[in-house]
Amino acid sequence: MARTKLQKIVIIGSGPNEIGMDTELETATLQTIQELHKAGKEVTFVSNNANSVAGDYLDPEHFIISNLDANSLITILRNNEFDGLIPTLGGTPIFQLLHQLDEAGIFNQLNIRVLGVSLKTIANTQNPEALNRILQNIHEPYIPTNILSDTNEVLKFVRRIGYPVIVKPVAAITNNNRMRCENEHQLKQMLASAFRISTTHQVAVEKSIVGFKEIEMTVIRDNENTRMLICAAEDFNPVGVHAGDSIVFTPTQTLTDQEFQAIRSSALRIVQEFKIRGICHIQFALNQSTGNYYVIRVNPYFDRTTAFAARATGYPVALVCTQISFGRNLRSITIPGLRQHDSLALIEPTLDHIAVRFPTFSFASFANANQELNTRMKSTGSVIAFGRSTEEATLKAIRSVDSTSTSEQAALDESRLNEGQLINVLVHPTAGEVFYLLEAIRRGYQVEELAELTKIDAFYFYKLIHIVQIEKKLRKHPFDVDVLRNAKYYGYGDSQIAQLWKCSDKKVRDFRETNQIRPTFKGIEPTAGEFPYNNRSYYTTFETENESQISEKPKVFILGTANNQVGTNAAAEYVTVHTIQACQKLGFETILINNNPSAISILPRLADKLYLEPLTVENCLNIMNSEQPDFVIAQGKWQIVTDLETAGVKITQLPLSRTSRAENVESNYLVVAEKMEEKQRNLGCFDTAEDASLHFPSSAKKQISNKLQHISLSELSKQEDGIYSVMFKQEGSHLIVTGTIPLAIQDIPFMTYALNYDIVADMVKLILKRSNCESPLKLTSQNVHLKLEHVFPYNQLQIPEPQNPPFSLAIGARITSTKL
Amino acid sequence: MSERYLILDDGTVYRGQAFGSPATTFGEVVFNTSATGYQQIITNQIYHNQIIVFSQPSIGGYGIDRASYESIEPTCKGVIVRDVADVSTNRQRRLSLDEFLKIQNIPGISGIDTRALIHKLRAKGTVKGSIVDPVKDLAHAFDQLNAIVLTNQQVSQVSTPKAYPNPGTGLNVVVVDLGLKHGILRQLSQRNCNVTVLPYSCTAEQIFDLDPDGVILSTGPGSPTDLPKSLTDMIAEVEQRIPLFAIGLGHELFAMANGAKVKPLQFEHHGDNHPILSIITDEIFYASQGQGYTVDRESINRDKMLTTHIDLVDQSVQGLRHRDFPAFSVQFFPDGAPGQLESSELFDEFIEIMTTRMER
Repeated sequence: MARTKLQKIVIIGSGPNEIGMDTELETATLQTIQELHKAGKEVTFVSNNANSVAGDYLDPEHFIISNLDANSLITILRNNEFDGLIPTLGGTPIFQLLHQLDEAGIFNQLNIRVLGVSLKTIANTQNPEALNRILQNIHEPYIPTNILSDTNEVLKFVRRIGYPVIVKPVAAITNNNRMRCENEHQLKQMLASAFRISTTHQVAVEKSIVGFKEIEMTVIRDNENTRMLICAAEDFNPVGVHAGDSIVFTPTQTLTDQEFQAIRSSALRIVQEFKIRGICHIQFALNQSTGNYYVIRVNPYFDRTTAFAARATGYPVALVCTQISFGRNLRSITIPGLRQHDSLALIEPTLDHIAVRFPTFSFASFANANQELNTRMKSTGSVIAFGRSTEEATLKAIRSVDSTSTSEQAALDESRLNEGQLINVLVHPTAGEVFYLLEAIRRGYQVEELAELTKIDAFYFYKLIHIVQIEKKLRKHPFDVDVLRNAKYYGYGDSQIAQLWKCSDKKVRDFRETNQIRPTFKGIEPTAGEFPYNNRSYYTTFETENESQISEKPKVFILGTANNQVGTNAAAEYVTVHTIQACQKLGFETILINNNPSAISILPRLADKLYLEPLTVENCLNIMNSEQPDFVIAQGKWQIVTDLETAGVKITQLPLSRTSRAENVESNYLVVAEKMEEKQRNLGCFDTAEDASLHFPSSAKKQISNKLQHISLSELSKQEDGIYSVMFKQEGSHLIVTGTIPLAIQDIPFMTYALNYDIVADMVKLILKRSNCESPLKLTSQNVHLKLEHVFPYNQLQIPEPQNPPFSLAIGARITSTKL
Repeated sequence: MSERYLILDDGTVYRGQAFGSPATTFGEVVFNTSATGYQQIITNQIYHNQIIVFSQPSIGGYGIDRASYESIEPTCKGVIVRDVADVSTNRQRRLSLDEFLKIQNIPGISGIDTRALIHKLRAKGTVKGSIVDPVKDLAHAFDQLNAIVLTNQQVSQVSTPKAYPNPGTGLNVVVVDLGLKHGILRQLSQRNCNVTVLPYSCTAEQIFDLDPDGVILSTGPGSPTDLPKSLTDMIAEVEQRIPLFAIGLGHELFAMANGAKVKPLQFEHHGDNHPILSIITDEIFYASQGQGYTVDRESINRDKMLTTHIDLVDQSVQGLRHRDFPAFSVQFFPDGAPGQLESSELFDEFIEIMTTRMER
């Protein structure tokens, strides 16, 4: 008997961030929680992600920290009488887990309704055999694959599916790669050895689609089978490079309407067949020489692509899907923003801008990792860039990525990269591929050659050639107004131009100002200008109409965290979100610049105004000139802060350290202490371990604890106003202060949770000189032991993990809670 | 690329770059919000007399594709876009968009803030415009623009002057060409129909003489009220005897033939993002739309006609069905091209109606 009421809903969150999982699931989760609250539902969130922001939206009893394993989840489900569970916000490992629970009958037993899509459906989409069987039923083309144990059977199968094929021994004794076979001769040769090294004498054979074009469709279906396409995106790289490591464009750039509609129709049929209720991301491979497409993935849940779809179109995907999950249908759902036509959620998004998602890598920190792009994802994050031409979006994305890539770009001259090396990269792409492509164009490679070598559509090479043509013109005609105007129109940044003109950025900026080449801000919305829209998100371009309305309110301009790199990132996002909320509470209009498509801080309804732009001096100054903010806020000191200060901007910094606490300082204890207007107090005491993990409450005995508190206060008296980590080393009964340093960003989410005290809010009050309103400490004795550990990407990058790696190389953080 | 101007009859001047034909052109400026299919849009005869603004910022990415013509000789008056992709000629032996427009004598202008322009068109309604060479004194160009009277005889200019066949071995269908979109023929070909395309001036007698199983009234440009009354008379006669399916302009004429009124929209609607409700099945789908006129809902004689489809954005009538005769019509384009194919099953429905009737 299913419960009829649907009041208490549980969301199982993802674990810590890792490669392939930025903060996109958190982002969708927050929107879902807000939407469920609006509908009067009681929401509980379960997670072990130390950087989760969901706690801000839930009281402690609805924010459960738990290991994400079967036993822990069953206990939680048994102890709470949930009516419904949302399975689409936890990522792949969570489905596998939930599917196990479902198979074991747990949800039936406990009368919990799984909302949105059924776990059986998810399992079917994730199992290639089941997926292919269902696709076959609805006559949708899939990649034929088979496990066979006899050469004749293989030949028969391949005759049916056609060459090339990929052959892989099953359960091989040696680590054997997949082999591509172009003809029968190669296949027979390959099979001989493959059967030999397979312990089961079997091979897996599948049709090779390497080199096909990859298309990603994001579709929503409701409870009455109304289906709409939210976003169609096209991968720059062909099949063979992980979609997460490819540059992605929307709208599609090179598809004819026939190809587009065939794939769209297929996507709609698939969500109907699988009875999806809510979001679905479907990946296709398209062979443009025959016009045939294949379905390669069906993901009926939130992921990187759905996050990009939501940001690129401005369509509130999570809001709409949540309403669908508790039974509403698209025709009765309204979306904020649209000023007319009953704010109909049913208007299918269509764009008058081009959005690109560009992968970012952290290889500067992991130099020994293999940087070749293949089917294993390696990028640690991504940026989103908007433009009114393919060139503009691409150029903005290029200057959004980190400085490592820029230096990579600089190192590509012929003395550093010979012809053979260049061709090798063209055939086997590596991180930062686009810089090599640009270099190849500079060296005179032709479109046909490049398209042949890389299997990237020729269209993109015409665009890259145009970029290089403008570059050449810029080099040849420094300080030529028309050349500059054209370069700006096609997306060149001041700093990129300064490099070519061999002058300072400021000189370019001044010259541009003098000649009145000024940016305009355009709204990001899903109707291509057809309907009046209350824009909240903007991007910069150089055209005629400026849509950004400037308010009279006091304003803060907050620098976002940009692309996800190892180190501070997910935690920095947490700090950004808290900064926005604290500023709003103090009565400021909050204006954010950020360009990570998965970022939490760019959520609708969070910052009052959002500029989705590269964090460059040029963009920040443009926005500041237009908005005239009272404060510019940054989280600690990093490159853009230094650059802006050099450009004369007064930055109000949150007193935070972007490097990690433990790298130079040995310690056993850490006291978080605050000094505001001559008043000092300790906020709490933590244990620090050798592996840089942090523990709460401190295990220090009463006597030591008192001593720690006392010394910390006296340490503080020497400091300026601020919040500090006072670090102690214990030697026998002696306590030695090893450092009094600003809080490390990576510790803040954990400390905030452990102390149940909004540290960031205090910092914001402090820097904005509104500190007279001191918040009371409401320490709750939770009777639990909390531990913060860092998660590193070594495994995913397939390199050995050193002992106690510095946590500035961490990609995520895990929190564990043990009953005392 | 050389500079050109786009001027509007309200006095606005936009500077941009020339592509396509270097001719000076005049027309009504209308915008299309479709994300794909620039070639189908440009070659659609409904744009006769009109200059098309693409909200999609970049067009031309795959050149001209042999399977994407909606007419062989397009008659739109111009193309306005933010960015036109400079895709070279020899790629897959295709023409580039620029070359194609040169051959077809259609001027284009790129580098326009099309989002701003669309905001203006939304606010002003129908605007006349002209793409001209950049001269210092635009007074003459504006005089010409204001003096120009666009023809209202569009259908006679785009309809075939002579009947022609599109043979098949299935049902016999007459298509009355009001500015036919090839998509309609494509859909009928897929269903193996034996098609005869007749000029718009054909009479009911001529149709009856061909003894067809069904008649399709095609899409076309301009206002249905500018067309001779003989057309609605023909429809009123044909619908009584032969299954009839009317699309776009055909739908507007079908409505008028049955006593309904047609009124101009404040601004034309071209795109494929509006949800359309099928009242009978209660299903919602999307389809390509291109209309400057709409059937006045109040004027529909409910004893005679049934509203079958409405646009959920503006509640406009998108489909009608005759209560007594096997005749129905849709305002949108069920053949897609460009656009969604969800409603192509209307052609199956038409085939079914014809088949049932034949078997009776």
